[in-house]
Amino acid sequence: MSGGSRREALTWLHRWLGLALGALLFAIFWMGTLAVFDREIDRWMMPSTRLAPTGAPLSADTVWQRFRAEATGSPLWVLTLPSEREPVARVQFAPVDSAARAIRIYGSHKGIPLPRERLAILLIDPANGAVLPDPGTRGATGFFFPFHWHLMLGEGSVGQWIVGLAGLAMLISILSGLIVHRDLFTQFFTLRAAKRGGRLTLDLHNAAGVLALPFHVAITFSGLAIFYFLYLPAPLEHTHQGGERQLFVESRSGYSRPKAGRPGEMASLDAMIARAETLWGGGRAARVSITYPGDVAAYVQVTRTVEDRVVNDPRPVYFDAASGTLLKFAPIRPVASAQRYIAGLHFTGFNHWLLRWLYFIFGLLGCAVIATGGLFWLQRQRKTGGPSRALAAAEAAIVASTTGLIGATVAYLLANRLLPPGGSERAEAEVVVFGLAWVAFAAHAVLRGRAAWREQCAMIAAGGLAAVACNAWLTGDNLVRTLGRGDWAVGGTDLVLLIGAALAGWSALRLGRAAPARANLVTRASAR
Amino acid sequence: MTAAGPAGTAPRPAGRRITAGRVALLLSTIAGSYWVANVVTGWLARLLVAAAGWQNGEATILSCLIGIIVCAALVVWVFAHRSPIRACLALLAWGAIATGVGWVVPDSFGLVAMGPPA
Repeated sequence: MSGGSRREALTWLHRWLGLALGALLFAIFWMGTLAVFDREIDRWMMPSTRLAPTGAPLSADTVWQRFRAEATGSPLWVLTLPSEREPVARVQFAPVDSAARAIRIYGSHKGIPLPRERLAILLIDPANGAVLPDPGTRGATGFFFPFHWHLMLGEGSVGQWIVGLAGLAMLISILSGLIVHRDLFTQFFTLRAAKRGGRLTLDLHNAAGVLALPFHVAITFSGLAIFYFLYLPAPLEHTHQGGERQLFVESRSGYSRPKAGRPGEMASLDAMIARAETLWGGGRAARVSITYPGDVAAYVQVTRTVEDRVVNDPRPVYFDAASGTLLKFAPIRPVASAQRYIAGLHFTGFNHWLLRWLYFIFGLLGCAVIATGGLFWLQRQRKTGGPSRALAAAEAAIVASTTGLIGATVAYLLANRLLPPGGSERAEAEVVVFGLAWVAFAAHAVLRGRAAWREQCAMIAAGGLAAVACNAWLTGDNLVRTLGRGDWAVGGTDLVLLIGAALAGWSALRLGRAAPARANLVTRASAR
Repeated sequence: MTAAGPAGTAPRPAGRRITAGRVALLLSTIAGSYWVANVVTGWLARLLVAAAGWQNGEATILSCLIGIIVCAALVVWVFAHRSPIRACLALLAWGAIATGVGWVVPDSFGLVAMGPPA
């Protein structure tokens, strides 16, 4: 095969992978980009959690005593301590006899299956230990983030495999794109803004792709590397006979023992936290988990915050729950540490605002690369093949998966402000609104053809402005007030919504001006 | 350009047939690459444990990380090959041989038991 035809075959690979999985990749990138600021969006979506940080640490013993009766018999009880990004504490357990406490469906925790329909997630005010009212929303941590990695189809589900396949396709697209776009640096400095149509779209695709290339490679590979044991099961089957838990116990210095079935006591959790913090030699505790609470074989895991480092190694310390004696604390081994570093690059658990913003911007650039790739193909097909039913369907799919998804996200935020107060049903209603809005945007794209681009941009602009206005009107937290008190989580979300609305509005206007010009050209050509 | 279709039917566009063939090639390549990468990483993990004395977890993680890159690289290699169809067939053959060796010769080289997982 000559160099030309090799390049042609790789161009074909690059194009078809992009076309076949572009919509899915855009959704994964978009949700992942939003998840970079998931805790901040949570504050926007859960007004009851907009608390000022308290100086005094929360006593884990006090919180445990409060839930002791309800949590005894639950497979797991987890307390997530407040942090700079999340000023509320969070308690998770499966109550044995309290249906009323079941607030949200959340799944499993670290491989231990929890009865989904009865899992309680309670938010605690760290200032006084009081249980905060049910926010009635999944927020960003309960929707954008899980959508990003399993499409809301559940942990270990087919959704995770679909995301894995899309990740692999992205990695292949990047590799083939590097060969296809041989003159990377020349292309990076080539942005013919004065040109219209396909040429400008391709320039944007190349420039955005090259600018964020290291990020795209790192984020795609690290995304796949997080679930290495799921995507490539053969090594696990050879070395651990398929035992995922055994792998974690071994590679991440985990600990596990069976339940005894006899009642047991509970030593001081605060003392265990203090001991763990001494063992770490710096860094504070982020989470306390009790496995089999109330059982004589119960054990406590205290994990460290990862907000001061890239490596996502929580350095777990295990204690016997009844006596408080240390059961296990060992550093993870080098390869596992390298894998946790790669995972940490993806999770962005670290508190570094400049890096976090760069992740957000590069994530948006990833979305732009995917969208402009599809758009360029569309423009070229229009030029070479003329209008056809298949082309119209492809255009509708691209519109629905880009502006349609962004519009559905804005609808989700609007629903969060406008739905009447409620519990878990309200949270699920928000997700239904998201789904219905996405379907509506897709139907609109089918019905309106090319005009859908402009109209959906206008709808996103209006929706973004309405979300900011509703937040100010219904919670009293307008931009001046939030920024005045230094609440960048809520104020920043409002600002990003306003900037997004402005960009969408500008795009709608620009597309509106381009449409009559195109119509004039067609009229002149047919008159000739 | 068109090609004659079955008797009594309209000719099919050649471009569409080429695209369908390439899509089949792409799917086979992805499946073959995944197959080879998975089997080979399984071998690698056992080799690291048995021959180099690595801890099971460490061997599993490293081989999986390598496997992800190998899988993506194999797809690109097939399409960059002089004859992608032949490369894809070779890939599928490697997968079959690698799996077959594991099943037929359970104690290859007396070093690693490459038999089917227990």
